[in-house]
Amino acid sequence: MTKRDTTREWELLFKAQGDEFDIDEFTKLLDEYTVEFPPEHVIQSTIENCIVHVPQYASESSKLKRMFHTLSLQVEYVSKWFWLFSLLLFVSGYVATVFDSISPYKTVLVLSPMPFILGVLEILRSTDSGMAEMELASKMSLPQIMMARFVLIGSYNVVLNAIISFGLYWTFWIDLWKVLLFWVVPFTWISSIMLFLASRFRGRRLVPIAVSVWGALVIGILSNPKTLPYLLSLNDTLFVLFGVVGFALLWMQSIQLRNRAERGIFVEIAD
Amino acid sequence: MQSDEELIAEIRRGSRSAMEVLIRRYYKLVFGIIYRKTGDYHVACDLTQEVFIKVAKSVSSYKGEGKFKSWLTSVTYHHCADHFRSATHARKKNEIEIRPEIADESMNVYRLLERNDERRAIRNALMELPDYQRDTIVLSYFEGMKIREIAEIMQCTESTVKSRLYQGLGKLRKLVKGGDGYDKERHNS
Repeated sequence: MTKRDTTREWELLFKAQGDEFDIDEFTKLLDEYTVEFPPEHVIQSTIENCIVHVPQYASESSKLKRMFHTLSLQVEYVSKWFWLFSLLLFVSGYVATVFDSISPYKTVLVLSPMPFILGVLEILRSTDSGMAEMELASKMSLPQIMMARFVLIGSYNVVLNAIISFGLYWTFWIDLWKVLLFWVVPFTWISSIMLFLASRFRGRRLVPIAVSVWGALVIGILSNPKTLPYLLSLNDTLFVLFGVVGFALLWMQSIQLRNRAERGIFVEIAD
Repeated sequence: MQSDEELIAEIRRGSRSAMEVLIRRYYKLVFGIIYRKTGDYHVACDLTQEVFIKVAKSVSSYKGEGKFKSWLTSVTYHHCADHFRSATHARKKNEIEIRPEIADESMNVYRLLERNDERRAIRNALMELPDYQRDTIVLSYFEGMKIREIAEIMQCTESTVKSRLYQGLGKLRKLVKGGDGYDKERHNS
């Protein structure tokens, strides 16, 4: 039952401590603790109960169907207030830009990471009874649920940013490429920072704190009248570089999130 | 014989027969770990099934880094830890798990009772240890895993594993010797 090389490992421990005792007698005693394995019919029953859970993937198209089904399921479980509030935020931003003569670049900069900041708690919502039921009903594991929500909320953020960018472009005939770069960089960086913070710090206070900090930061930066012209004068290559780095950080954080979920380490969001 | 990785690849393609082969290959490993960790035969049967269900559902998350056996042991260990953390779990410390043995002419009743006493003594002594020490002993002594592998599974340093192993075996030795002495005294009276 014991392997000689690992028996030597714990023997060496005792020897290193100067602890002398009859190892053969001790091992002979421990080896009495045999395992009475179940009979064949129990093992067969286990097999029958397990093999039904082997995923059946017929083809690539059914994989895609399954993915869409997974995502559509998550839409229902993410809070409706998140979808609505994020949309209202962007609509308000567009209206304010049109009627209050706010710079469209400022608008996209400020709004770009907001849905993700608001939605990060939805991604990490704990394994309360609702989550466990969903896991049983949809046969999805916790990591799959979390990654599906991450994709959903991230994609929603991207879609809202894209829509407001095109809307402002058609309204003001501004540089579309510049507008896109203006939201990609803060979106990727702030999203990866939020994932990092949310997976390590508990509590619902994280979101209002993050919103306040982001708001204070952009107000502080943009209150200087020279800041925006300076940012607009920067080379596009720099934006692209920052965007790529931001995307890499976001990718790394999402992988870490999935790995932590797979190991059973996830944040219990406390009130 | 197909390797574990070949079986995993087939399971990912939906092969149920490959899953059956894998379960038969590792059933004793998983059951043995859980049985020695919980000391309860029926709990071990249930948890073993749950572990393999988990494996069937999440086989795609096995990346092929390291041996499959280590990954499976890690899943088993963490699943048991979740079980012990659950609010409804209640340990039966003084119960003995004896399977009805088929009568064998080479074994008489007294020998069976003697074996049960020894197994009970070691089982009870193991259950007296803190979870982390018992887990280390089960994985190292009874399952033959290396300290490095145990450290990865338990997500701690190798020196922590060594410390737990040393202290756990030391305590176990004292408990078993004390219990063994008590039982021998009872037999001789």
